Amino acid sequence: MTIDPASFIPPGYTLLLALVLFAIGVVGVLVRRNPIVIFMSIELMLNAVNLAFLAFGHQLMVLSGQIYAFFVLAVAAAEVAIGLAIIMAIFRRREEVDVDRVNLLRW
Amino acid sequence: MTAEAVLTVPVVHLREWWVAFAPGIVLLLAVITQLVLELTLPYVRTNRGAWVVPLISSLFVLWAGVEAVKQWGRYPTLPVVPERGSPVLAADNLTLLFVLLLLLILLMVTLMSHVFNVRIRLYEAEYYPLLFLSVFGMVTLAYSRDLVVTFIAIEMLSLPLYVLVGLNVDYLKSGEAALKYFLLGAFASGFLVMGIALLYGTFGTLNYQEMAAGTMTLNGPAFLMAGVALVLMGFAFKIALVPFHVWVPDVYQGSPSVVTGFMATGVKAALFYALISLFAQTMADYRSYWVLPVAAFGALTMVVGNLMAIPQTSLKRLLAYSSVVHAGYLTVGLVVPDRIAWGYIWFYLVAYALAVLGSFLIVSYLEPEGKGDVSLDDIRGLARTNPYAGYAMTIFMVSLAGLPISMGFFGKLFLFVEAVHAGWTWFVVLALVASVFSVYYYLKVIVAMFMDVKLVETEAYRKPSPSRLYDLVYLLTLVGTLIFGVVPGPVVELVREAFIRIPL
Repeated sequence: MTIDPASFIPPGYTLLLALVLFAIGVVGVLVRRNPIVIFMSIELMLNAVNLAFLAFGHQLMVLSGQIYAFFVLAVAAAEVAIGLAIIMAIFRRREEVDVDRVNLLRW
Repeated sequence: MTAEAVLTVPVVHLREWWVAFAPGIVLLLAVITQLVLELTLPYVRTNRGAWVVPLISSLFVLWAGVEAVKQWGRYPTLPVVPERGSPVLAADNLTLLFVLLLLLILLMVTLMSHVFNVRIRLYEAEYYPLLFLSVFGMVTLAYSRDLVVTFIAIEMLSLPLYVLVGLNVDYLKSGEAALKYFLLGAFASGFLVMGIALLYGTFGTLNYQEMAAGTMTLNGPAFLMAGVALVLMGFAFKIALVPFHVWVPDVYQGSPSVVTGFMATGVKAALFYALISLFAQTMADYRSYWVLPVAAFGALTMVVGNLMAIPQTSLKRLLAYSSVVHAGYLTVGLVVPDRIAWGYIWFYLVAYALAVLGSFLIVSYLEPEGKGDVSLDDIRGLARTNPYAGYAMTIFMVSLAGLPISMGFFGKLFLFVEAVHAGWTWFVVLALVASVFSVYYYLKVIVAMFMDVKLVETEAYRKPSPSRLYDLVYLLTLVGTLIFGVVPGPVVELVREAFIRIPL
């Protein structure tokens, strides 16, 4: 089976989408106050990176970009496991997780 | 690119690979052993048998050290065009020096941990496996010759650390430190991996040797610039360069003292070597893209770090800002395009690791029950009530300040001399002025111990040292700091020899 390369979405568009998603993730981390939502924004950043890897892999016509995306996915999954555990541990102790209230440590 | 070129898999002789990466493998074996021991032998979970796991773990560290030494001289420097493929993991002599430093740090932390963990009732079953997994990540990072491996190794060293920071569940600040470290760390790795993706888009490969040998085939310099900037941000967060240092004092204060000592030394050593092998070695042809940003980060770090350290009253926060400032000094070596300067970064890191681990050893047994921190008020008159700790702390502070008759002095001297030779005079002058200012807050600690009158007294302030294991770490750090502070020759010879020996 052959696929007409012209039917692909050009890598430039994918990359643009990736950068927009990444920017949304960054703004989300900076603006939101709930650690779980901050964490979701970080995941959004990582997924944007996956898209960027796919776009570049497509541009180069090599598979390595897609393979790297899997590595990033695996790392993101490991981060979820650790991160949610930490948030849960804090919540059990203090019944709230607003990052502005988690402020025993100050310069 | 043709299909054949894509499918060409570098030939790697599996046995050779196992042998070359032996230090890492031994650390993994240690983790498995620790887990099996904790699960199968109830004795090691009792207070009487708690010494078994640290003891066996230390033996594993020594074994890993022997394996690393055996690799010495195999490749003094990695060949630019390797005979068989581009390796993903490889070690030259400089790598091995850093691996040995990491193992030394791990050994001392393992020896320190036991008594401290029993005292603050830290649950030990997870402690040692997490510690060793983190060092496994650091060793992998040192071996890494591929940006994907670098990314995974950085995550592998960070994820166990997030847990270690928050392991002291009885102490509210420990959890808070873990949350801050985790959220900011994950945020920074997002930037790092985006930068890696952009570098992939620039070079078409992530392998260091292919990056160094190839040209920017794709997309042009804008992508390279953005990629370098984002990767640098990710690294700057981990090694705590201003303005990405805000997490450092909080996390260092909140985590268990021994873990703080481990973070301050191990992470910095591993990440600095990663910076050397990625920027200074691999991207040497693209110096104009990264040298000035690195120098700017370094200069800002020295100035801001020192200013923030001056008003601190907590010893742990003071040491945290001190570690920020030291990251600034180390960037002086990074911008010098000379192998020997990178070797002196290693020398500096050894001096720094000995002094910092020694200081945290003292902090860890002086800290009052349940407080998790030592303030400058707490150590008033320490030199009189406990001269042993007082004089040791003085020596460590002298070494951190970089005053003569300590290893820290020679660390700064060698690094700065190399930088002046390379033409970085303004940077070195700034670093010298910064280190003169930094003497103020190190002296503040010494003054508190020697001049002031004792306010509070606890048992720890009288007992010279609560354990023989502590004495051993004392001995290693003190003797190292003092002996190499008088005769640094042997270590310098090691650094020089690392680059000139002919491959076997």
